[in-house]
Amino acid sequence: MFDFSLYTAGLPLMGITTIIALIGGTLTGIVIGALPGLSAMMAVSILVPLTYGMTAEVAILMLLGVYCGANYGGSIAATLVNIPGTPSAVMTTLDAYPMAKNGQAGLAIGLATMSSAIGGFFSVIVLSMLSPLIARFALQFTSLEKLSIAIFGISVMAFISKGSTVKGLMAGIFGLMVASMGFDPNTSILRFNFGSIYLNSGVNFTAAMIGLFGMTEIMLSAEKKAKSVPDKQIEAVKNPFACFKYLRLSLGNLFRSSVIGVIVGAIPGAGGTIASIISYAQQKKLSKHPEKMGQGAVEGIVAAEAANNACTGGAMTTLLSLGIPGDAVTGILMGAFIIHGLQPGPNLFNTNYNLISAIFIGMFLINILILVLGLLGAPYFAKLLKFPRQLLNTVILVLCVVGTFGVQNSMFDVRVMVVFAIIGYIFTKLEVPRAPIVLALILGSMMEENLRRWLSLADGQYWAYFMECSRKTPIAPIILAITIFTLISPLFKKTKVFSEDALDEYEEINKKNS
Amino acid sequence: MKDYIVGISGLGLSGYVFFASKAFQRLGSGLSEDPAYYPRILAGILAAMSIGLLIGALRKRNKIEVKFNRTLLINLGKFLGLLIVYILIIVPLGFIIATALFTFSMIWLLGGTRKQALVYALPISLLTYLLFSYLLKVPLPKGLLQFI
Repeated sequence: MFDFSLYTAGLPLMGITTIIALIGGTLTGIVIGALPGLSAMMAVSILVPLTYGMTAEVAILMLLGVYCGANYGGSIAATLVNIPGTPSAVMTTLDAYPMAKNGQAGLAIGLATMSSAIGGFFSVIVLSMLSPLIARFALQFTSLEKLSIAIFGISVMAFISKGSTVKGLMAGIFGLMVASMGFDPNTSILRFNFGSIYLNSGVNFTAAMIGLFGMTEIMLSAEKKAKSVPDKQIEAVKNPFACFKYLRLSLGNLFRSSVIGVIVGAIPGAGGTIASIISYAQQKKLSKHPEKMGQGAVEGIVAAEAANNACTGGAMTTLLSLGIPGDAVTGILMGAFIIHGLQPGPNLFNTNYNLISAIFIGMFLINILILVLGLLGAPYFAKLLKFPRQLLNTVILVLCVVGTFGVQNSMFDVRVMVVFAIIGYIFTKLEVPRAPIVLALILGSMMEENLRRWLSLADGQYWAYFMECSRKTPIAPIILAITIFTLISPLFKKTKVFSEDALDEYEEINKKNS
Repeated sequence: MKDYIVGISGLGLSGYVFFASKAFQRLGSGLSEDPAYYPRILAGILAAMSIGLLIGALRKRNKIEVKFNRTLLINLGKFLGLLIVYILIIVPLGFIIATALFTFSMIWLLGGTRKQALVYALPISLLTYLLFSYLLKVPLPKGLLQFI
């Protein structure tokens, strides 16, 4: 008989507060995702401080709602203004915007909602079945395996980010260096505290995140002129329920795109953007009318949205079972877990069985909420795009400052946040990706601990000990080999298919459309 | 140009980490007891990558072009200046007053009308104060308004 307790143990935690937090989180996520310039990353990092007073399960489920909601909400701006509300909705713009221009904005948003919810459902099922198995397997991991997975994650993140891989890796190293500030974990000797007692325990993770992804985004968005939405388009958002007519026709597409989404999501470092690029390209290959894709095709919207929302479950699988975030947003979520005294990873399945179960149930509910809220609320979310930009940006700036202050009631953290905002801004201007920094900051201490534990176990005989470990389980050398292969692959092939650089190809279609 | 800046700053940072870690006291003979070991590995990798980036930039013969948008820089300066002043006055003036002043000037700076700035500044400040200090129990600085 199957043991279903993993799927029911969380039910007692789903009290009225949790449900309210879930609904509130999902709604906030959709709203933030729908506004161009405010990404899921920013939403989660700014909202982390708001969860301090909550219990762990309420906090985590609320943030998960924000994460999944924002991932979906990006499609609303993509449809109406041809700007992805969150980066991962970039492929949705290709077909949803032309469809909206034809006066079918309602249908486009409906299709995006339906596909997002189905992709999300699928990924939660995979998450709840696979993650306990992977976690049991991962319990046997020693320091060498953990170290190599961390190196793999940061390298993949650097590889995938738009632009030069070398710069991505440099950003990762920068993050690792920042993570090594403060007391040395083994000997408690102070490192790089610049004479300030506030830095004795290192840089506050939440402050750095809010700076890098909250405030930097505002600085960048304040530079651009906001694009206005024609009223005609907003009024055209009606009858999103028409999308169900296309459900039966798109079943194959939905399934295929969801599988792609989950797999890509589960690769540490790769997230929704890559998943939707791959599934869109795949759909174009298999489509009976590939020439129609990019001109308002139903299948284009379905492929892009199902894949980018299916990523959420995939990314959570690696987070919960291995303790390695699948993308930048889950990296920030991992920070939230730690703040609430939980260490994501295989042990969580033993120590917080109920919470894991509640996460499965919660994510299931979140996708139902996306379907219901998305279909019923589409006309209202569309109106949000009219909200004056300068007000919104100012409110977010204030929230960045108060949120950071609230972490540990320290004005020093606020200064750290501003410093990281400036760093993030300079990095963006120099075309150095910011995402690897998150992963490096969160994995930094784990990497150093495991490296040094391994070194002390090796006791001087490094190569011999490495061979000995590899003979026991070949996991670490395999992961390291894949990492090296990924990093040198551009030398053999000109274009990086599996990278955000593939976007350039689609940017032309986008230009034509607008 | 961008690659040159990134490469040179990377080299600078790795050099700093390398020399600063010289001062760390070493407690044992093994590598795992050396607090400077890990930062130095990072510094080494960073230096190698910076050199690689610089060589790549030299080989591509990237033209050194410096493009500065003056208005953009001035606006950025104003933005950061405002932010820093805000952070400095939060404690002495208190959160409510400081935030109202900040939102007023920021809405204006970001292109809002004076009317918008006047109407929204105080409500935004009060609402955030209420949200954080009552609902989330964050003790925000009261400053001049000690009586509330």
